Formats: sequence, C-alpha cells, structure tokens
Amino acid sequence: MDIVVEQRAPTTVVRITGSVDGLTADTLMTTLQQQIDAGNTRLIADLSGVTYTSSAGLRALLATVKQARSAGGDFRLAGVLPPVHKVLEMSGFTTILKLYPDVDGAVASYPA
Amino acid sequence: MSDATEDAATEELVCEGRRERLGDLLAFVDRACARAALDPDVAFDVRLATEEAVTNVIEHGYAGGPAPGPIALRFHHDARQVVVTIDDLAPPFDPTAIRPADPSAPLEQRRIGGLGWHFVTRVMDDVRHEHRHPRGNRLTLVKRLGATD
Repeated sequence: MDIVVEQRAPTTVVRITGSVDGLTADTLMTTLQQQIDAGNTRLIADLSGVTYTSSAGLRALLATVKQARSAGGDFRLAGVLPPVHKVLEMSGFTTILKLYPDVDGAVASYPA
Repeated sequence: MSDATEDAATEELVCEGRRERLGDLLAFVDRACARAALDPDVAFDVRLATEEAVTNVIEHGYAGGPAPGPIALRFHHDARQVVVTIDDLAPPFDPTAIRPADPSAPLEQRRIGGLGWHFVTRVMDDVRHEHRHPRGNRLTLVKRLGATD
C-alpha cells in the first residue's frame, strides 16, 4: 500500500494505492490521524487505486470519520472501486460515509 | 484418473499463529488463488474470508495463552469449488457466541468487532466449524464456482 497526501484547498486528499488489510491498516490509520491532529479535518480518501479492503481497513475508516466529525470536519471517499464498494455495503458503511465518483466531486462537496 | 482429480489441487501452509505471520498467510492464499486462475471476484471473496478467519484465530483464539500455537491453512481447488480449511489448537471457538455486527447502527454506536465474521459468512457459500480432538478448531470455508452472489 502507498499513501500520498495532497492539499487541495479547502480539503486534504489522501490518495491510497494497493490493499488496505491487516498488514497495512495501521499505517493508514496513523497517516489519517496525523492529518486530523494537524488540523486538516476536511479529509478525502481517494480510493480509486484500492483493490482490496478487509475489516482491518474499515477500522481505520471508522476511527477517522468519527475523529474528523468530532473536530468539525468530515472524511469522505472518492473513486471507490466495485469490490471495495461491496465490502462497504456489506458493513453498512455506505450509509455513514459520503461517497463521490471522483476526487473533484468530493473536493467540491466541501464549502469553500 | 478422472478429470476432476486431474484438475484438483491442494496446498497447505503451517505457521505460528502470530500477527507477524499474517503476511505469509495472505501471500499463500493470493498465490493459491492465482495458480487456480480464479475469477477476480471469487479470489477477492476467498482472500477476504481467509484474512478475517485467520485474524480471528491470531487475535482471539490464541490471545491470552502463553504462546501462539500453529495455524494450518489448506487451500483446495477443483472444478466445482474452492475449499479453505483453517486448523488451530486454540481453545474452543463458538461462532454462535459472536455478537453480530449491526450494519444499520448509527455512527456513534458503530464497532468493528463482529464485522470480520459477518464478512466470512456473507462472502462464502458454506461455513462449517468443528471442534477437533483432543483440542483445537477446524473452520471450513467453501466457495462454489459458478455460483452468483
């Protein structure tokens, strides 16, 4: 798994590539936590390069959305591929997280 | 030898049931799925169920013991199905005691516990648990080929 963080005002885009599983989820959680700690609470995860996730990955997403919202921001997902969407749907996460087809749409969803 | 036998293949990995070995267990199932030339959607489901099941053994089955015991992960593939078998020597596991995940709970009440087992039972066609003698558990996960979700 690779992670690239990019500031796209007024948001922070975290671009993730590869598998988010029990081997990599802690690294993702730490990266997202650092952004929230730095005050970057309008977060977007670009998942267009993520081909696999398990409950370990969902743990990182759940912790992040809770922290971002309690800090007055949000954590939104962009470009979710069908297999990962299936996991989000099975767990009911599609009803608690906002999903957008692409990063541009997710950036535009935050007030400027 | 019948066609079914010629097409069948079984592979096994035995390793310590500790978190540091999760990468080896996942790499084993990835390689086995690739060798079996499984449809990507089927391979995804098999990997997901296997990761959740072996993680359950590592984080719960062997938690609290003096040292982790072994996990034997077996992958069988033939023309009709993929069968993943996971043997451990952990205390008896009771799948019916797992508090089910609630996919409709509001955000504040969401928890990840129970979600892994929920995935196992959702993505596989048949999930069987047996207590082994004199100790341990056997979990058998079956994915039928050609079956739709």
